[in-house]
Amino acid sequence: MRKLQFYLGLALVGLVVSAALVSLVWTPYDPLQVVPADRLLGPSPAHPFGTDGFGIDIASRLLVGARYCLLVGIVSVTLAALVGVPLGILAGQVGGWVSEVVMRLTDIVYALPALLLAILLAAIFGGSTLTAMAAIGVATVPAFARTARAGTLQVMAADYVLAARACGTRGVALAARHIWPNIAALAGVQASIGFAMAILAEAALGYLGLGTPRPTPTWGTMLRDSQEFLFTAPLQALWPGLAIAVAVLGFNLLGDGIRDLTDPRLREAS
Amino acid sequence: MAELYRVESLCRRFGGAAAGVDALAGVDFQIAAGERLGIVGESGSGKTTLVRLLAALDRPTSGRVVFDGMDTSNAPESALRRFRARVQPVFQDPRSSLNPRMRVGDIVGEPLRSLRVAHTSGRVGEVLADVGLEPEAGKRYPHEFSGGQRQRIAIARALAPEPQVLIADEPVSALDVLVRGQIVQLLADLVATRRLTLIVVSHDLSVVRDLCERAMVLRQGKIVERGPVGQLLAGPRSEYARSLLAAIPELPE
Ligand SMILES: Nc1ncnc2c1ncn2[C@@H]1O[C@H](COP(=O)(O)OP(=O)(O)OP(=O)(O)O)[C@@H](O)[C@H]1O
Ligand SMILES: [Mg+2]
Repeated sequence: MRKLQFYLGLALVGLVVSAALVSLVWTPYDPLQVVPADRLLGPSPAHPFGTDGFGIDIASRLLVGARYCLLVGIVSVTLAALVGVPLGILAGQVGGWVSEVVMRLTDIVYALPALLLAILLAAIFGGSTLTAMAAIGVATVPAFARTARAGTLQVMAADYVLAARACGTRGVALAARHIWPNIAALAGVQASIGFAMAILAEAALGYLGLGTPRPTPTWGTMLRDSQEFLFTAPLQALWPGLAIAVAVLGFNLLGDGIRDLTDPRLREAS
Repeated sequence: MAELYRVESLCRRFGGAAAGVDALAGVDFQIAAGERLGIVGESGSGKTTLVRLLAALDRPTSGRVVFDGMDTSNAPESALRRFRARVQPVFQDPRSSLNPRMRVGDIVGEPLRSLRVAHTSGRVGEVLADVGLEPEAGKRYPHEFSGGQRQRIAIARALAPEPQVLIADEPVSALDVLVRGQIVQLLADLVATRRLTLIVVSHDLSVVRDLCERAMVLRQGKIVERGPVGQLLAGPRSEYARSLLAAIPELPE
């Protein structure tokens, strides 16, 4: 059952990744070429998902959109993990006022929604993939910092840390040999969940016109463009919505799967 | 014999001044080099608290621990490197005292690395052999070993920097009854061949009887009785020590 969840997640994520990879070498049609004669065609053998309001093949745009969805996910989650995990470990390991400062900082960022941050960045630098990634990344830092801190506190209470201290191991060596390896799985779960959140956030930013600008196809902007035809051509909204759902579900399932598979108590039970 | 440890008015309080617990409420004693001291007492009597202070893994609320002329209880960590190479702990439960994500070889070699102890490349294999494990064990992970074997790994780690003092907190109580005797025997052999000073905590007097020559009885953070093990076992003066004695399982000699 747990394995099933993990593999289902892996399959859905695999689907998104393959779509992105395929789009690098091949798309059925040019994803940017406007063809006025082909506007809003329904699904057909020539266009399995139909065409959009510009007459562009939706399948092609979905494939390329996967690329941006993954790009934004990877960059923002990596950014968040690189900042958040060390901060969380530091807070958990040193404790005291260091922990207080880190936790209060994450509280502040937590209180600031990614959307607001993105609007701010877009206002200053103009809406782009980069500002979207930066905004989502910064907004995801607290989740990583908190997870890492909670994991670190648990590890610090273990006897093997006491034994390591008796061996003279401390500071960065303690973090590298004892803390990080024991919270890595937890960080992996957080990364998967962060990925799912980033994809949603990217779609939301695209929808609001704060992310990657036209004509680059992202699932969020496709969703926004479909709005016009919601009543005349509802399938327009279905396809990007479905793509977002598949990616988000995939990463969430993957995250839960990693958590369950790496929890030693659960592992021993199975 | 030369005095190694001197413990003076040692107190350790957990929690606030108002609603705290005095885990140790003023303890004084000395340990000579080469001595084998047992510390017994019921659960919560302060045994673990005391040995953590002896191993400089915790700081006292007041009082001090002097090891070979050095006040370890108030020394900064950076000044404790020599001390840590000379005094090594063995914990109760090897399931939690060995990092599950480290190879046994790295676990046993950790004190050599962190304390920068000069050693030969075969040192880890040697100590593994000393505790009765194959050198190949170093390549595996702790979960691949039984409880008794894991405690041997923990003992090997403690022996790696060639310490002078071994501090064992309930070294067998987390183990299967059948392997307890083997680990006690291993400790007895190691202490004899290496002339180690041994401090063993147990709520079980039979372990102390087998390993130690002198013992102290703790109760609510105070020493209530002390003396040679034989004397303590033969005629405990306090009712408390008698009740602990009554709890010894009859082991076949
Ligand atoms: N970290 C801590 N925080 C708060 N109280 C503690 C802490 N460690 C120990 N105590 C308290 O100090 C007292 C002595 O604890 P200690 O662990 O030294 O007992 P012990 O003799 O080792 O018991 P056991 O045989 O169960 O291991 C107990 O009342 C315990 O609750
Ligand atoms: Mg204890």
